[in-house]
Amino acid sequence: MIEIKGVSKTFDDVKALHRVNLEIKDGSIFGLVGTNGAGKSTLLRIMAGIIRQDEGDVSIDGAPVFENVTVKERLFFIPDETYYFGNATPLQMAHYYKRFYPHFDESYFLHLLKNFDLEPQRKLNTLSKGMKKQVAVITALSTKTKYIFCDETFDGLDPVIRQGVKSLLASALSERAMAVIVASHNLRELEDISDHIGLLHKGGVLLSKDLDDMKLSIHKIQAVFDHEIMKEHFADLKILKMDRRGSLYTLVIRGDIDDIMTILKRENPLFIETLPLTLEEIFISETEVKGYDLKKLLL
Amino acid sequence: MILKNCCSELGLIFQAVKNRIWFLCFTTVLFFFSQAVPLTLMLQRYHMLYEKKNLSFVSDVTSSLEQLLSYNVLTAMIMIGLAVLCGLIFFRYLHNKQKVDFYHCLPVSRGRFYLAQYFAGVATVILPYIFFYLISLLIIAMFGDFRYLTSAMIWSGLLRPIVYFLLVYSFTVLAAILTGNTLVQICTVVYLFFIFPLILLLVYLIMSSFYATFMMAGAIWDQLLFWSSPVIHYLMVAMEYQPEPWWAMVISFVVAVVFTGIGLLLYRIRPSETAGKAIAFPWFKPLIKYPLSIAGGICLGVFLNSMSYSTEILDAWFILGTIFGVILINRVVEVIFAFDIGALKTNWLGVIVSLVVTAAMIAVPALDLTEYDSYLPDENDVAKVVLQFPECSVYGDGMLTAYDSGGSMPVTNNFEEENQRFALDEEDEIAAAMELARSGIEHLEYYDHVEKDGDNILVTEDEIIPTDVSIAFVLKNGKTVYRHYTCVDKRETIDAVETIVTNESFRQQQLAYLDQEYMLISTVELYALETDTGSFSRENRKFFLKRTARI
Repeated sequence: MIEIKGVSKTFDDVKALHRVNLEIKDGSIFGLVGTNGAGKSTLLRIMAGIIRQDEGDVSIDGAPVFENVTVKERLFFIPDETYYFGNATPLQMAHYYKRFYPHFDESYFLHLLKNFDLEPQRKLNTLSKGMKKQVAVITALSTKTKYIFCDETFDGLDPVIRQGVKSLLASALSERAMAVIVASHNLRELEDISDHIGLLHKGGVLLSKDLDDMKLSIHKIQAVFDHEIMKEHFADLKILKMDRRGSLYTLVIRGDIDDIMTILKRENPLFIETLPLTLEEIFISETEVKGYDLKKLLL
Repeated sequence: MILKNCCSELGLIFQAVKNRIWFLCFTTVLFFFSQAVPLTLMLQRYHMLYEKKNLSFVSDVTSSLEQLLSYNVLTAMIMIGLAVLCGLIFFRYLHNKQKVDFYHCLPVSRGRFYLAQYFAGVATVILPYIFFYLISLLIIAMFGDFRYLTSAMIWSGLLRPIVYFLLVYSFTVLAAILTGNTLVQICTVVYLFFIFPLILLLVYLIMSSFYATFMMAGAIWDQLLFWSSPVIHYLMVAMEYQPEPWWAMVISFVVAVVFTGIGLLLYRIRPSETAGKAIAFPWFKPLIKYPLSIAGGICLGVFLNSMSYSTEILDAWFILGTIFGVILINRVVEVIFAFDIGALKTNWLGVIVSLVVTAAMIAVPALDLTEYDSYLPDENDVAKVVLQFPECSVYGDGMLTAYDSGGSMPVTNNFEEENQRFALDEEDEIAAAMELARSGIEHLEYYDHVEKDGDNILVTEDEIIPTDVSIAFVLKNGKTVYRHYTCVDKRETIDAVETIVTNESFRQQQLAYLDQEYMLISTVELYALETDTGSFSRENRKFFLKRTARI
């Protein structure tokens, strides 16, 4: 488990992180979302032990990270811009990493390279940006570390490769207990992979929720009424959003679905059904409650 | 466990060298052409030149081997260059954000990583050096000239370049850790190497300009310079400008180890996010900015003053130049630190502080706040004195025994040596020296008058007849006070001069220096009698002739 308590970090006069509190459990993919400058990369670098926080504690499995070799052997960090030795091949980089990660599985590494149609002896500086990221993810998985931190790893990948990488991560997660933290400014990127989402804004955590819990607790319902409906008609419900087009009402409501349907049916709708909510819609609802416009936060 | 750690560390070093294999190839080729090749050519030449291995051959070969092995300026320059290059190459990754992220997220402690990089740099230079040094010894043996080598030559040839490489390298590595940009690192390296010699030079210039009695013995100046910079230290040794006692190399090695240790400590706490910035540690900024702006400002002031051909140091050009120099350098450094021209507008308090400190540094000698010129040690505290009389000639039996040029007394520039050889410790000699000093202090103001009139000294009966004398007062507490008096009145002090030059031990010391058999020093003449420019009244001339005849 990763615990982040009251972490703050300032660069010159810029407060990158302000008293961030997060808990990331094992066996999950945590999506860290936020705009550019929200503090995602800074937080990941602190968690990876690259930079030291000014305040607060970061512990992985109960131990601090910074300058802790034992803890660092359990994590692998994939930065937004990957660095490789000049003229090095994927295999040479694998041999280098083998020195530091005692459980590095070279056969698995070669197997994954083959699956992604990447040559182990081809010079890395001849690969495209997306291919380099693939090599980075393959390397990360081959180290067999418990934690993988990905900083905008999926951004810039084509959809096919992106899906391939996502399935790789999901498969690895199913095989062993590990946790993956993926930072991105794109909610849609994280939608089909994350179990838990944390929204960073201006160095602080605005939201941190389990995705299933969010989806279970918020519902989008479309109904047709033959009379005018006001919010006051459903005073018992926590209506987050209500749109009307003629007699068609679209409501986003927080609460138990059975209770919601019972109350709505009291008004004798001509038609009623639940619709799937996208992550973006859930977030919009959640952040609007707190007075933020999500589009401004993430665009 | 220890073996495992050692193997692991060696693995890191090996990988670091492997990543920069081109540099290892470069140093190998360089040492081949700078060691083995010149040695072979030199020995071949001597063997072809001399048919027989006579004394000349032995002398030539021995001195050439000593030059090539122990006092090789080319080797010194190569080692200095490689040490700087090494520090740049092996620690340049600290200035790149991507590389810092890569290395610092690896599960290896920073201390271990630093040492691996450090020793990888050492290995790429020292290993080829040692290899070709051994090859050189083999070449000497193959020519049959090994017998001309002494163990001192062999060991100094091997160890000296290594020690000084480590010294310069440790400075460069420290500069890499203190900065976040490679260009700034290079500037910092130059700064660390030359700031103290620059400050020494400025102190010398300021003190010699403002203090009429300022004198620094050549030996002390050389010593200060010798220890002020690792680069100057090594070059002075290689050029045989400064003899090097064995402990100097030991101290240099210890300093290298200490700086390496400081580098390790700073590396461990260095914030990774400073990659790409000018300076990694904020506290280091004032250590560069203030000394550089103050020293640079004064340099500009001195330069403009010298260009104006003014006889006064403290003229408008000096003042304007100093102020302008301090502000300019302070602002330029501020812009470099921030990598932003907008920094010109910031931190003007620093400029004011620099100007105030500069003014204070100049005011102290200019106003003689420490009473330097008028200081005279208590006669009871003086153990012995050493004197120089530039205007005195020493004659023995009518022959000039002193140097012909200028008629100056034959004394060395090495006051430390003179302390041993020419020190006068008798009570009357010390009293005589004190009298000369008092006369010099009494007529300090006359110094300005003399200087204003240029080289031609107008002498009248109403004014003093100046001569200059340099005195080193060696105190009982071991300290030495050096003063140079330009306006010692000859008339007043002729008795004191007589006391000194007629002293038997002083005469013997003079002759010992001249390396001649004992001669009777019969005459002490004051140079002014022989000068074309001097003019004496008849009375004064009689006075001096009478004195010289008496001697």
